[in-house]
Amino acid sequence: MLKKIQFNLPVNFLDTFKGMITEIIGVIILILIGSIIIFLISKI
Amino acid sequence: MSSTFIIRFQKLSTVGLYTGRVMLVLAGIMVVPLITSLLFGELPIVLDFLVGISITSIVGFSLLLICGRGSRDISWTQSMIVVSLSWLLAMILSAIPYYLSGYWRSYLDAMFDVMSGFTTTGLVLGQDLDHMPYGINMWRHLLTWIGGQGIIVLALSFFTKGSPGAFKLYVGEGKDERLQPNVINTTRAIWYVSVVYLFVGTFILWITGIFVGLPVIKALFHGLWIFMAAWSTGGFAPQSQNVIYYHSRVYEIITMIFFIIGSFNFNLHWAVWTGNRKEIYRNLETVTFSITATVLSTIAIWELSKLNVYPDAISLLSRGYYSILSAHTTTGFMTIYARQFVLDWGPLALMAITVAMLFGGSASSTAGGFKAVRVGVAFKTVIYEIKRLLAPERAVIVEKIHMGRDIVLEDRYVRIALTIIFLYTISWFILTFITNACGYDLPSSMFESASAIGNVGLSCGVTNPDMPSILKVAYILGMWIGRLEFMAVFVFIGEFIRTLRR
Repeated sequence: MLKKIQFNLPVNFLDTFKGMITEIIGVIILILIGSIIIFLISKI
Repeated sequence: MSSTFIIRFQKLSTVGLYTGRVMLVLAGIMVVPLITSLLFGELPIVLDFLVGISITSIVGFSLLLICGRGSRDISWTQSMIVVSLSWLLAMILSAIPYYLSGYWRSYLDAMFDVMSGFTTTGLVLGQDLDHMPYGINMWRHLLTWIGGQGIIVLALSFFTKGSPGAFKLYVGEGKDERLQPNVINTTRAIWYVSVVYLFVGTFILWITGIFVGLPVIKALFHGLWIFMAAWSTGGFAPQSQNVIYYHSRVYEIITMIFFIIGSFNFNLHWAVWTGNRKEIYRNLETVTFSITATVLSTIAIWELSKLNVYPDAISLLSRGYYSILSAHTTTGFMTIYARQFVLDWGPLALMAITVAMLFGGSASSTAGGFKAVRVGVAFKTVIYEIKRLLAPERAVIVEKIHMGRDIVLEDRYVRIALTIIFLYTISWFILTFITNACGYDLPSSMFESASAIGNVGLSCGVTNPDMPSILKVAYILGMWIGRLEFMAVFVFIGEFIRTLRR
């Protein structure tokens, strides 16, 4: 049902959701790496 | 003689026709803050917007009436002029409600804030932000959200039916990626991504705002505005204290996630959303951004730790790291007060954040600066040259970059990347010189100029209503040139000079 809604573009709600989660997780990983570096520097 | 005049008039008519259409789109957008003002019973502001809509519509319809016979087929030169002219006219007309509201001291200040919004810069000259009406705040944040995607992109998305010159106008606004084979569908895809994120982001910030202690309606509007400013890497906020106002680490982290995602290339969003999820860690721009952001953050944090500016890791994270990422994505959200950059941060940290502002986010995104793709190409060129020097004389060295697919690094890509980096750097020098000549110290001049030319919006205190008018004009031009990435503005100025000489 969800996959049929198209907005005249070749993307559906499920892809949209998965794509958004991928981007958010990617950014959180980047922030976490930076945070770990900051934590290590502050301990030196 | 007369035939020359007719040809020139026809060329001008085409420019006028497209510019007129963009102005009508602008008048249509003004209805949103008008409705907001009506909802909150801000009647004087309703009148301000009615005046703004009327004048903008008159200008738009007049251009269509005078230039209605202009050709729909538009040349590259004309498209560049339409883009540059539309941005200037949009700045003048959008400033009407600002000025009439009384929150800006002069019309120049109002135009400064409009250009700051459209270019997603975020520098502010408006006064008494904490008591600004809902309608005006809606207009401020709507301008920056629309500017992030591009005024022309909006006009192309919904108000043209596949005009022959659509792609040229699209490129003129500093975007060159095709998400779809058709440029109209490309612009619709850009808006699709932005609107979906708008709903999700506003909802998350709304709920967080309620938990932070804001009333439900205020939390909703603050969530909407803060999301608009984060996604468009604009940096405006409804309160003078910017993000500090919320006193919430969770709120800060959410804005951080959204402004980083907002600084991604729309081509990357589209690739990830259509199933190519590995693209997020293979793409040259995300790889370049991750490396430069980590290196510059490390340098800044090292200095801040050494000077003991922030005593613990949490403060370093929410003050230092947040500021560097806000600068690098060209957002301009602030978790520290303006003068602290110059007074508290050491020279190395100040240099790191200035470089971050100049590097900027991704190409074809809402961000400004050099753009990660060009920085990545520059680094790749250095690697290529080292490999070439180390390899045997007859060896063929091929360097590739990954932007959706593997692309061989050719000389023309290097030339384009280095030209734009060179132009940005020269413009930054000029703006720094003008700021310095106006009496500001060199570190502040370098910082504020990088912020204006890179469309960032972080301020170390130079930008305020009392700054010299010449500097306000210089920053308006800097923001405009930086956003349109030089070429459209150069063509506009060149054509203007050529017309004067005739």
